Amino acid sequence: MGFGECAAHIILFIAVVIVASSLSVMMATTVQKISMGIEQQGSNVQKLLVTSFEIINDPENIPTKTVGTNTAYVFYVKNTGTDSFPLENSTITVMIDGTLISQANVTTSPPVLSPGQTGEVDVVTTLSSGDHTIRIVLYNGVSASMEFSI
Amino acid sequence: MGFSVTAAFALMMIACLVAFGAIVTVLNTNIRAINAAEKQQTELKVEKANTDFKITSVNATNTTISTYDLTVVLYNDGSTTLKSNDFSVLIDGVLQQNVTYNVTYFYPLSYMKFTIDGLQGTVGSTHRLEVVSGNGIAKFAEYTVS
Repeated sequence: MGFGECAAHIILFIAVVIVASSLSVMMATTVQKISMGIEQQGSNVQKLLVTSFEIINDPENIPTKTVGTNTAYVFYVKNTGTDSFPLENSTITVMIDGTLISQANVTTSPPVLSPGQTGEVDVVTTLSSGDHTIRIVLYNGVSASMEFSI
Repeated sequence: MGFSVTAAFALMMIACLVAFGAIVTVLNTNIRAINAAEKQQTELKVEKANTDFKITSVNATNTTISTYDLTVVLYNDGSTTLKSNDFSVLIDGVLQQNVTYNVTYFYPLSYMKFTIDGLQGTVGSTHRLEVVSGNGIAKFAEYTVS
């Protein structure tokens, strides 16, 4: 085994170690990303399971209030789950009779609803006399609906 | 050549083991958290199924020409202990903020009384009352101010 052969072996060894190390680093990065994704997904599922709410209005007595120059229907939302959830017009979706109410026509309070707490969703819209259905969808897709009469 | 292959294999093997360990750790943590959440959800469902109460009496007593005080007695005929602070009371559809309860916990087979003072209404006027427990069970009643 001459010097040339020995040098070739060393070069080959270094090359193989560099390639294996690079592959290991790539694998570590990918695994880290997958882990973060799994963690995020797990957290979402967990929140979905513990989030629950109800629209608790008296269906025959939907109160109204003045918001700016408009009249808004007041809907009460009660957190019946075990986790708090954000109650802001940017995090909830309100539909009445299947029609989406724009964010600008929805005001809410308080910004975060704790378990057992009741919040308010004011919806500026025009409703005819008769029966209607409201559906409120939270940021994580949990929804509740209620039939009411005007 | 022989040692290079062994070294590369050893490196890849270690990397695979570390990656597998990381994924198993994250999966284990998540499965535990989801199991806990599922348990909570089941408990909530059972609690809701076992919750029942009724409005046993409603007294609306006129205090001034246009206001009255309301006293309501509830009876817990379910098997769940409810927190009084988690109740919501609506009168004529409007949520009431100043409700005073005589107990903190509403135990099974016991009574709970709440009062609301200074409500708007004249003698003879009829109103609708809705009482909602913390887990969303609602009961309705109608009363006349005397």
